[in-house]
Amino acid sequence: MKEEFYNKISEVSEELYYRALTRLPKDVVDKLKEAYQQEESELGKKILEVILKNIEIAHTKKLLVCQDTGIPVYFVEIGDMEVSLPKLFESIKIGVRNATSKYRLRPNMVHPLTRKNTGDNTGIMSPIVHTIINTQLKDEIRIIAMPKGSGSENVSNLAMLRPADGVKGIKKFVLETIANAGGLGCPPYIVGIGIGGDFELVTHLAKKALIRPLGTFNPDPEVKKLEQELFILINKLGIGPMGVGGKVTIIAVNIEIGETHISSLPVAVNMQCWRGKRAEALITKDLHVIYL
Amino acid sequence: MIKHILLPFTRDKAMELRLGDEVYLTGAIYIVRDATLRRIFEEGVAPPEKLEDQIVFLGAPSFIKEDDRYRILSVGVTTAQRMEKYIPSLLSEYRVRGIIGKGELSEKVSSSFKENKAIYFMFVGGAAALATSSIVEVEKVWWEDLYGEALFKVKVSQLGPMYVAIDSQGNNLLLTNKEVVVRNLREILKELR
Repeated sequence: MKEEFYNKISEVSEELYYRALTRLPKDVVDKLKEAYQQEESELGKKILEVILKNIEIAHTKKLLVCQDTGIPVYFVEIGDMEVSLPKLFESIKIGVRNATSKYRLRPNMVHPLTRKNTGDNTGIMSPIVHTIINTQLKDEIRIIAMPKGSGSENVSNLAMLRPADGVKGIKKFVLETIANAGGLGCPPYIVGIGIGGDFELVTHLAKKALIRPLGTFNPDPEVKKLEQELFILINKLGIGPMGVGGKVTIIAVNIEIGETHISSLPVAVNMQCWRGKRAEALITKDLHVIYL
Repeated sequence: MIKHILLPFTRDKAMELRLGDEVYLTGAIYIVRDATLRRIFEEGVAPPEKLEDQIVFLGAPSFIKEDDRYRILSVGVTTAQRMEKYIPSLLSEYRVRGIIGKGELSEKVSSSFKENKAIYFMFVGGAAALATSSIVEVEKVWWEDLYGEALFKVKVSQLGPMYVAIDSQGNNLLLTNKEVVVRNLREILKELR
């Protein structure tokens, strides 16, 4: 691909980072409105009202919904198109750097030992870019920006269960993880769960589960059943909006799976705060951009 | 109850508040975060102003500086538990009267709020657009080398709503609910198939 293509990727990555921080996807807002209707706890309902009001203010006053500009995470779906990965990664990095300086976003990324801030949200392995093969895409690539806030990321968890633990063990681990998270990670949560693969893939699956629109189900009927069961069980915990108690602890459970080893059962739970931030765009081979 | 409070936040004002009260604050507050508190407590650098009867907001803004004037572009609360170990000293040593954050704080800390007749306010996490809209002006910034984690003194008008999550008697709203959650979890696990 030509130079202009990668320039376009930088431009789109920059725009997506800002969009993800300033407007919420419609599916997330709809679920929050539903949650407001359903919540019975007085304080819980007030908090949902504040959340909805905040989304509105961010939109009208052109402010960030939440001050946490996150750890920059991108998913790039590529189909049958030749793309240079080093150039792709570099273009996204430029996009993140430009967005940080143009919109004066808070720089979050620090060296893990010295805690020195890089100042522009890029650095060693930052941004985090996941490439996904999507054979349905032909002459286009799809970019999803999902700047991930630390509050919910810090209460996420991973377990290498035994196959003997089975589905019951998976449910137990998920419920315990969310009970432990309590109100720390800004509920009502969106829960991304990865099951299977290895130690590394399972966390990737959990994060990938979070980019799936809310209200959709995994096509595998067994997985869909587990999504539905967990949704009911988790909401029985009573954590409620911001941990004050109530019916609404989560607004969605999305699960992604991968085949795993005969002696393994990895499970990862990636928590997402109510902001559910993500922004997407398609870029065609002839540089046409469609923001979704 | 809805309460509008003018700062400074004196002992009497704190003692009037009850768990779950909806509060709006007007006056000057200080914004601090992990690195700001590490500087005070680990590096032993004293805060540049007296914090007695003051409000400390746990967060890290993004800001710009134009002609020596600062403007906050976005600020919101962060998880208070991460800085829990510094809270008792903030209350007893520096006489801070109120902490604004989000998420549960432990039993140990609730007793510290009780002893010092202080309040833990819960602001809705992620509601930064709301918090940012209430900022009138940035009065002063110290320790700018800490970026967003610098120490900010900011004038706010009607900052809120926030909810009393630990009152001056040490009642702890979020911890009480956490106990309910643990009980619920136990029941759910018993019937789990």
